Amino acid sequence: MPREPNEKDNVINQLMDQSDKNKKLERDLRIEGKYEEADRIWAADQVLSVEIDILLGHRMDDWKKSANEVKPKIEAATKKFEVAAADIKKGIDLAKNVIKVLGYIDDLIGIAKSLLI
Amino acid sequence: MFIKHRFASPFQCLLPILMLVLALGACAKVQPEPFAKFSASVQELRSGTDNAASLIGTWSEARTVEVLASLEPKAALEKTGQMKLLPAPPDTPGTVQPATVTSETEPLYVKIDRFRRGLYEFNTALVEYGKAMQALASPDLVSAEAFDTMRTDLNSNLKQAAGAFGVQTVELSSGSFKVDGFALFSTIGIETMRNIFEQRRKDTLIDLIHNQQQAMDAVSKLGIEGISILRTNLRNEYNNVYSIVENEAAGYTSKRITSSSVNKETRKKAAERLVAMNKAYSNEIQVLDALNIAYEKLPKAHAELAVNLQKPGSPLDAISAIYNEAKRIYTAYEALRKQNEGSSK
Repeated sequence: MPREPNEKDNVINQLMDQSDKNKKLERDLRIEGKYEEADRIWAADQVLSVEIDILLGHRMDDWKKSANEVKPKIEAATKKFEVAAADIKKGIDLAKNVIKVLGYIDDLIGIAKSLLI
Repeated sequence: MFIKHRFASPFQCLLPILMLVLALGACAKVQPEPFAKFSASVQELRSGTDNAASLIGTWSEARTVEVLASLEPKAALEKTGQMKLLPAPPDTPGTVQPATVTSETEPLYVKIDRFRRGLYEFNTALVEYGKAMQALASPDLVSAEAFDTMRTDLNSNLKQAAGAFGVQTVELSSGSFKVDGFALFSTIGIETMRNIFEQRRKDTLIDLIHNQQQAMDAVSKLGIEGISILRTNLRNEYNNVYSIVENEAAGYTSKRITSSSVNKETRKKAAERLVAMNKAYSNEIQVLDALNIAYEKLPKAHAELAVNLQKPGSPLDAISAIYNEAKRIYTAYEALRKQNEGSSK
């Protein structure tokens, strides 16, 4: 399944592409000894970086909202599995107890018989 | 020609029934391995996602520090003002929040940390789901030992009851047999009961898995989206931190001008940091790829659990795939952990 970026992802990726270009330009300018120009590019890139951060923040908050809608459904399903396992365990325990009780009744019958003899 | 068959003894009559009961039991039995693999895989998904988010958070914190140190005093004060934590409103005691709570000005590392916690909680719900399924499929739930004990108890009870009434042999239309033959009765009775429990849990598992298939699709979609967000954050932090550290390695000060006062040792440390960052970045990309594949395969793996119950022996390709990706995630992080331990010595 290929990843399908949504609209916000596309915008963020485009801005990040631009930021990459800025950083490369800043590096090249420093290599050429053009420090003032390089610093100006750096400052401009910082402004762009803040915008990217804001969009990333929104993206994370959006995801959390969606996750908060799905999470209770999974938790409810977990509960159903737990209840089903508890029911089966209860059934088996009941069967065990019934057989044990039958044993006690047999013992009582044995005692009663021995008293009658 | 109609041939009237008469069993020579009650044993000959009971044995086929026992065989049938045992055969039905084999069909009803739930194989726990696929559930165990599914559960182990989603646990690795949780820790893998958490580790990935942790590294990104660390880089984001480092970037905040580096950028702050490079800003002019006025701009730096604006930033520190936004970062300051204050007690939260009275309805959320014991917590703090940034002085400026609008999402625009909150530092990104705070948001990444919150996102990381959200991912962890979301994956924990999935882990608990996997554990609950595994518990219902566990051999311990309908354990052979419990039913063996019941069979022994029942057999002993029947013998005692017969003994108490002075019965030594039981007369049936097909013949008579001694009370020792109660063992066969007990086995059939208890095995039948066990089959009922096995069938009940199998039907319940199939039913619940089918009912949750849609929710699992939603989990998969959100998981993939979460990984995509982590990937974008990773790229953002890597590019920004790399740009800062490469300037340090090249001998630029925080004022971003060349300085001969930057000693060789500082530059060497920065260069080492770049190398470590590259290793961590490559590793993280591999982990995110593995996580992405695992989340993609999750709905199919979930559906396979039910198919395998209905048709035992059917292929478990998606479960194997997510299990393999989980191992890949674990291996990648073990390598990174060892690398970090080595570099810190």
